[in-house]
Amino acid sequence: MKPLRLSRRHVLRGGAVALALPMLEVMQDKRARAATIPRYLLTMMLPNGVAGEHWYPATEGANWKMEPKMGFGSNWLEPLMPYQNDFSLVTGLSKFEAWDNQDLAPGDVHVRSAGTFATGAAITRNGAGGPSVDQIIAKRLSLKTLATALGKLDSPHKSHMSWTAADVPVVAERDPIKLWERLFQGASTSGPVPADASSSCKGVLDFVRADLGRLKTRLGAADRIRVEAHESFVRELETEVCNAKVPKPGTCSSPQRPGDTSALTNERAQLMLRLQVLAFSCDLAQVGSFALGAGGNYERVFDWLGAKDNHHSISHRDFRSDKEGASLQEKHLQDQVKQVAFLINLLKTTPSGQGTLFDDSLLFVANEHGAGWDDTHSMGDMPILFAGGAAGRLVRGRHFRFPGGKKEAGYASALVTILHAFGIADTKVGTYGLTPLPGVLS
Amino acid sequence: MKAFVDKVALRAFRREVPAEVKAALLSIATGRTGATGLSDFLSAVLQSPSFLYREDRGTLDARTKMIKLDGYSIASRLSFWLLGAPPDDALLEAAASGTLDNADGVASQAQALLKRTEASSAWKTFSEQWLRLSGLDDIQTDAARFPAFDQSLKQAMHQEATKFIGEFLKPGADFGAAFTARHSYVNQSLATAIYRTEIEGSAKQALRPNEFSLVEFGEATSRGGLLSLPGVLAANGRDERVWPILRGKFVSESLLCSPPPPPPANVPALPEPKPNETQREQLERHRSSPACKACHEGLEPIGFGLEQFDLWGRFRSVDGNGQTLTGEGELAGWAEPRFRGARELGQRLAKSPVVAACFARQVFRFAMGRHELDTDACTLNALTKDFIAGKRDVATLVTSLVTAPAFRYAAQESP
Repeated sequence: MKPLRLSRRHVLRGGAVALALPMLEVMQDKRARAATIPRYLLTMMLPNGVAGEHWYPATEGANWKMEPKMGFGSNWLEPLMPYQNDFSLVTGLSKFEAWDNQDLAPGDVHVRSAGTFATGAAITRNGAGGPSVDQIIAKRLSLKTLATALGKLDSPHKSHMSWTAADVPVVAERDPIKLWERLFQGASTSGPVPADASSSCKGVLDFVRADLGRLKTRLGAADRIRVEAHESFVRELETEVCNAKVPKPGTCSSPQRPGDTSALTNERAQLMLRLQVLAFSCDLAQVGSFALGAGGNYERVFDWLGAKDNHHSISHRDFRSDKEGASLQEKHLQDQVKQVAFLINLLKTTPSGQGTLFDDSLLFVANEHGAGWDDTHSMGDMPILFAGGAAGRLVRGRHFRFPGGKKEAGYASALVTILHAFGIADTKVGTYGLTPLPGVLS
Repeated sequence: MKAFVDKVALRAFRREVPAEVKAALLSIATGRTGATGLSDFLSAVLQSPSFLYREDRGTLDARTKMIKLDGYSIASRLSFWLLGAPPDDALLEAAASGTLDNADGVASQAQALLKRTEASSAWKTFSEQWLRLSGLDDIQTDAARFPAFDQSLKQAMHQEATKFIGEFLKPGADFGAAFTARHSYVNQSLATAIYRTEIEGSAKQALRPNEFSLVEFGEATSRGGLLSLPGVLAANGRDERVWPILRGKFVSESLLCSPPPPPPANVPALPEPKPNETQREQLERHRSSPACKACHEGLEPIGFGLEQFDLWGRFRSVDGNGQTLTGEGELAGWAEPRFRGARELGQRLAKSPVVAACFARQVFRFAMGRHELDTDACTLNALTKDFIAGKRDVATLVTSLVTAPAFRYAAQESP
């Protein structure tokens, strides 16, 4: 017996430290609780390609095995195998539209990837040729979006996955501290920070946590779990953002200067993903995009793998003749896939409604290229992964291999599939995106 | 400092604050000196769940097995709805003194709030949502077709609409007259760009750029009531190709509360217009398919009744191809379905109990911050009955709702 009902007001921005609160079940319209489309969409782009025709598993359908068709790179998908039944792998699709505009920078294939990643439209001189599916969904369903990325800003074509219209990018937040400020603090603080700011920040957060605790005792079981998860999330972030991540001790507002390679670690990527997921669970955004570094730039060195050179240069080494290069490339791919696994696990452990955020989400992960491992960086045989409970819409645990010959049944069809998952069936995606991939949605 | 902390906490949390919470806040406020301490204090208060969530507290009523809301919860419900703001000192005082513990006390507080000036801005927010005026920013057409349609004209259309509606959402006014009144509030740019020849010379001369003055429409014009307001017509038309569908959808959803079911996943595109085909004929062809008809017969036949106003709400007697526009429309399923033009449609809606019931339902949603459930059927019936019996005066509707069990009680959450 809990004599309590809640409704929610807009989160007030501003103040020295600020957090948002999670959406509680008790606040929701009872009828709205039964979802038929996913509540959240997250798109994620990995850079620099995979092993061309060598990367995908030889077996198709359910219970697919990891062995790739040509025996190379056998375990790079390993970090995802514990989640095999939580996602489906889609292979064989080519991104035809990426080559449609031949007179623009024909040499640089990286210029053709981010702008086509979610738009399915040929690039233009100033960027992408149309809106991206995440923005189409957000606009149609009146959802809030959040774009994030690891790494510095490059040309518009390389930097932005998310576009509200042709040539109009959504500029991704690249700095976790600024992201945190934007989401949970409102105004970004600049200028000198008082020395005792850290302890006051702690005092304020302690008070808010105590108030959450008082609230908790009057909530139902499901909401109580949600509030508890929120409390611990806030505590973790407090440690990470306020203390560990700042160069000057005692401040929680000097953002770490982006741009030096050592900063682009997996910890930083995971912090961005955590903030992204927290934005979902606090209902500050329902549609997100994240780029795990931009393709074709030289800033990310995976020194924790023993790499001396940047990821992009390594991605060009010939895996057929260069044994050391091949082994490094495999490790790099595995390392990137680990971040996808991290995200899946994070969504699966964040409560939402009756279950977890994972149940309500559709996750679309793809590399910017198919083959990255020779000099071509092809747009053929793109590696694509659909994950998430997606409110029951997604068929999971399968490897779908499609014949890739027809332009109208290429990569853009995967983007149409995302729209259909969100109940949008009347919209063409880019140039060739007319129909969804057969069998991927239930 | 203590008095200040206690006062702010009471206003922010909108209820009595326990002593230990006040003490914790005071120690934050005095932890650092001067303005930084105050900023810490405000930062703690303004992000507390007690501030951000609206909490309904109360005690279990043995007879009804419902939670009877305490005075503070009622004060918040009243104030956020009727004033669009948290309760002020006087209302919190009323909550503390027990005035809001019975239906009569709640009703007289509600009537007092309705008379306050802030009430009109709360009704304005309601009207913006109810009439979907945000659609003004979403018009899909070639801007070159009507260059005068800029941000300031949009704002003027918006302001005209809310000012007009506001007149009928005041205690003592007749809500039904909002569908038939032959006047509006117009500034210079609306007169020039939208009303053009519909406003007579001398009245037009007297208009000013930034003032919305009362203008009476002559018998020769087709204006009358909210369905001929440019802001409403434009916000709910939006798209040159499908405006009759969208305007019909607005009437059926917002005014009649009988929305069509959501479009099926495989809905085909509209047929391309044939040469020399009017828009009416094109959409009739589309509607001739049985699959489309079921939903669309309740949409564009209403929308075409408003065809004498173009996308932006300017009067026109012929379409782009010189075809005469008669404003013939149809309210599918009504005893006398046919009507002609916005004025006749307005007259029909003004008297309709369906419209009164729908308005009561919209107010219920706005007041309660949620959609109605099956269990709210009795409340909604009673609201409609009282509203019609009280000559469609919003004050009656407010009294009826604030004294209803749905407003003063809450269902128990299951553990």
